[in-house]
Amino acid sequence: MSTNHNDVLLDVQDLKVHFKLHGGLFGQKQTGTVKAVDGVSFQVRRGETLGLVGESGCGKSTTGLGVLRMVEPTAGKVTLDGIDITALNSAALRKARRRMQMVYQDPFGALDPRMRVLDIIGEPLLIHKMFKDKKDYKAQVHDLLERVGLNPNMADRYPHQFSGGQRQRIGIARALAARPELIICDEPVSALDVSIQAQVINLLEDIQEEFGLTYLFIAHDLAVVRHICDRIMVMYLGHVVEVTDRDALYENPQHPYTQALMSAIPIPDPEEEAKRGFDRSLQGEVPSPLNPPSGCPFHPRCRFAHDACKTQKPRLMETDTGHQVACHLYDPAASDINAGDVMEDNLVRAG
Amino acid sequence: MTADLSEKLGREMTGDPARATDEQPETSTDTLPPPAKLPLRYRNRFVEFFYRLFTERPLGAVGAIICVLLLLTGIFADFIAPHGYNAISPLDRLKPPSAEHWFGTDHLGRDVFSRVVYGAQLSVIVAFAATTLSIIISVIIGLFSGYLGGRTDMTTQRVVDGWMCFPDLIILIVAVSVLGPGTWQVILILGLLFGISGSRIVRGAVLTAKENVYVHAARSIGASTGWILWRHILPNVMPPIIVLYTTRLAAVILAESGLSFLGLGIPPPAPSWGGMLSIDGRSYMFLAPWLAIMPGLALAIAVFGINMFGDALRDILDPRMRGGTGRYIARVRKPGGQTT
Repeated sequence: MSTNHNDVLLDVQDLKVHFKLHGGLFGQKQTGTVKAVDGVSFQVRRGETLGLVGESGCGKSTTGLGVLRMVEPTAGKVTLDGIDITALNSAALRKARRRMQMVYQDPFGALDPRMRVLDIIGEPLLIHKMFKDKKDYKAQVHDLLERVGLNPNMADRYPHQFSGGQRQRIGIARALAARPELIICDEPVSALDVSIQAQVINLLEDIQEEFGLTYLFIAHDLAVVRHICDRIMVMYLGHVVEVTDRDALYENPQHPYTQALMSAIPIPDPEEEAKRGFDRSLQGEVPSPLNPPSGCPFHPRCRFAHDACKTQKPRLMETDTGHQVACHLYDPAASDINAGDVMEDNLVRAG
Repeated sequence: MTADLSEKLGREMTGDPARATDEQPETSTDTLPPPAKLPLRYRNRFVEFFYRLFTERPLGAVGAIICVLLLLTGIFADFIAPHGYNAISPLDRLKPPSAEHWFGTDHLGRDVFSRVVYGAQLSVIVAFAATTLSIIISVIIGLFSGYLGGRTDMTTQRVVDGWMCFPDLIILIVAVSVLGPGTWQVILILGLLFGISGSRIVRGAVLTAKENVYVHAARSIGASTGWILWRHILPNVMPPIIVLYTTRLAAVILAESGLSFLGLGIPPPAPSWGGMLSIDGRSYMFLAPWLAIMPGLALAIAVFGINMFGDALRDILDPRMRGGTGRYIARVRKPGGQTT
């Protein structure tokens, strides 16, 4: 990838988050390992929005948590603006967390019901001592409330007095309070009504422009992702299967899994829907991450799976500029079937 | 964008009449009925608390009055009691209640009213000291055991299990026989006893509270464990702690009386209610029933008052119940999906 190292804000190298399962009377026996995230590498450039999509349980949220070290990564390296997050001790980590904030999915649970909005939004300021005096503190919170489209008079209220969309705005204001560079949005709109979703998405875009923020945007709603993201990373069972620019992904999905995802987007026109040709939707369930398939994790559900897929793990390799795919079909060294097959399918779909 | 949004949101808020009262005047004047009688938003919190106690929880207010009276009686016992608690008057033995001796006199001719008043003093001291001690112990054990979890939790809870295997009375009797009877011994023993068993309740509440997303959020902001415990966990486990405090307060008064009744508590001639019930009350129950009735009544009223006040306190201190327990509770959804 032709990335200038100076504008890479977040660099994740071979991140692994494994959860060990314990059994036995005192939990002394290790009975298995859930490889929630298994060797994920990506970069987020300053000012861009990287979308992270995949079905439930593919490890996209865990990746976000691993980056913040809210879940301790098993292996790998996370670098934020040159600082190795994975090497920090707990005090330094708390300080570093100021620079990367999180917006949560559940606007009802993410705010402490016993705190006033003033204290909720001001909490990062208090923790990181980012204000001069009480007046300055209040002024900063009022300013933040205004930025997210809420009335500053509401600062004395409690969270239960707000609607879901308003609470999500409060959550965003809190994330902004610490003046972070990176915000990890963990499905920030999926718990909201569609009409409110649009407002919150627009708000996220506005503040990104205003504060020069970088987003790691975790979602499963492909329409939302297409709207807000610059680049998109598709995950499957703890692995990255495809990374590319937004338009390239939607117009030319290369990995069979991505193609299946794209075909799952409903077209609001039955005739168009019929013209789409054959059904690419996936069969079967996501395999258990406790006992992942050998080789390519996608091979049991892949229409193009061949022998190599069952034994060798595909590597993430560039097919076009800035378009990386982890699939043997595109790997000249490993493939014994023609990538043209898949290309043909794309043509069918496009035509 | 932000300007017209806030306007829109302002209008959205006014759709709810219970919330509209404290809305910006320009949006609430046109269509809405005049604001209902609700406490002003920026009124002093202390004033608001009592306003709500009396309007929403009259029984709690009665409890509060009883508690205040109990406290005042305890503090000003010297001025209220017409006689000394130990002033013997052999000529006036076992006199029924009269104008001079409101609650009658006991077998030594001591004024029962004075003794009940001084008993309040003793009960107040023992109850508050022992309960405070027990709550501190409960909160410390409960917070750390519950929040840290893992091995800490495992070890602590097994010790608590072991402690709770012994019947309370056995521990009390052993401890009193080791430490000897006396006021501070009773405080210490009751505090420890109730403190350790109460830690279970605090721990349980902490286990629920720590799973909330806002605790996770605080961690991701960069909060330390101490900060989270103090600012998020503790406030959110306050309702059970307040209930624990008030029920323990009543229980400690009862336990102290029970101990004194058994002769293990505060030794005579100190005027403990339990001791009065036991030594004087039991022996002369048929001859002079006021000896048992008066301290017993004092005990019952005090316990009732504390319990009622505690209940009301818990309801009012919960911000989700702002605006009245009956009035808007149906509309308020607690986080986590439970409805109140």
